[in-house]
Amino acid sequence: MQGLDGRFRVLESLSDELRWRPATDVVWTHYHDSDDWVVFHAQSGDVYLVTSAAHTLWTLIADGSPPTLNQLIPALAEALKRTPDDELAAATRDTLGFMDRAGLVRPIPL
Amino acid sequence: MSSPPSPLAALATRGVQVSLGPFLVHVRSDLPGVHDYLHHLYADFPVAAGEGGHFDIAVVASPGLRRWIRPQANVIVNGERPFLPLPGNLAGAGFEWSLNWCVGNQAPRWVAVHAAVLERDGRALILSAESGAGKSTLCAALVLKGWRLFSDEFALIDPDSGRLTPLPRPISLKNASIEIIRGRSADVVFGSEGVDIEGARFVHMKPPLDSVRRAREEATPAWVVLPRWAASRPTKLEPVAKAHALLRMTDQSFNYNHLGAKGFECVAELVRRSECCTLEYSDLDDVLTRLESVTAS
Repeated sequence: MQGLDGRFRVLESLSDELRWRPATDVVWTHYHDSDDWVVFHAQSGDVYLVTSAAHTLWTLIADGSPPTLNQLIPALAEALKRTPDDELAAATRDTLGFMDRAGLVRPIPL
Repeated sequence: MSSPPSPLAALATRGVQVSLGPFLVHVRSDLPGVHDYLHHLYADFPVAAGEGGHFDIAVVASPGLRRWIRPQANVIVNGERPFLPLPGNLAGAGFEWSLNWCVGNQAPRWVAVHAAVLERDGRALILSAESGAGKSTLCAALVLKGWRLFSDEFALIDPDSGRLTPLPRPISLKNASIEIIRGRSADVVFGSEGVDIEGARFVHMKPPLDSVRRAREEATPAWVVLPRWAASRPTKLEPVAKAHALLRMTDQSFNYNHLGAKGFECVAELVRRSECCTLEYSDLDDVLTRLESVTAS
């Protein structure tokens, strides 16, 4: 039941208009021998290996006022020097979903 | 003149205190298997009759008929029974396994990572892997090549200094590794061979005297190697991205998450300061040569 609740919450939370904020109890680590980042979520004790694009997305959420998915896609495109096309939009949505499930970001209730 | 009585004479009554690296372990047992195990494999460790310690371990026989018919060894750690009773002939090994449980779960001063650690010239080589990856075999072979045995089971990282604390104990060898290591030195002392509850043959190898005497000498982490034994494969020792090494190290840590961000940052810093490699091997002589070359450079 808890799993179902979680699934519904994620589906709902990925609504384009929902605003996002970063989790506060995370630690990011980066080394200069690769682009990957490692992030520690203190509340769960879990560790994740993520791409630099995912880290950039999290940084965009953490900087400034809480953005929506619709605001994040062009901002990420600009940060990565890419075109804000459907592929980037889908990847942004997937990554945001992953970070929500991992507890790295949280939706702000409407 | 008669020699003084062995402190192990108190094992079945008030118990004995064994000094193991930073830990004082109180152990009590009425089973001859534990007495023999300590007598053979812990002969070089400071042992004294007495009570109290960081960990309190009792390995005791089941009462009644079980004392004679299919005897059992019950492990009691700090007053709790974390394991089901073991067959009586595993009593000595049961002491060793309960120590693993204690260090992994009840030593919050350090970040404990599942790893074999060896030292040379103050620098530590960390072999971190899941069970069955061949780290103890490599560890034993490197010890026989002159490396100091720092620990066969745990890398204990001090989160304040980032340095490693030694915990030399008997090396646990399984299955084919037993013959491989036995064949490399006639002088090494081994405990009696047994079969564990998963059906694997095992034996414990006595740690070298020099390693036991230097059990208070810390070391600086220098190399992290993530080994994997793979039958008939050529040796492959390759640099690995530190982010990947960190993920593997945290995966093998017992308690970093209990220490929160400090524990994670401690492992992350150790990885930052170390040269990190993955290792696939089947030929022990070849891998020893390669490791010597990497650590000498």
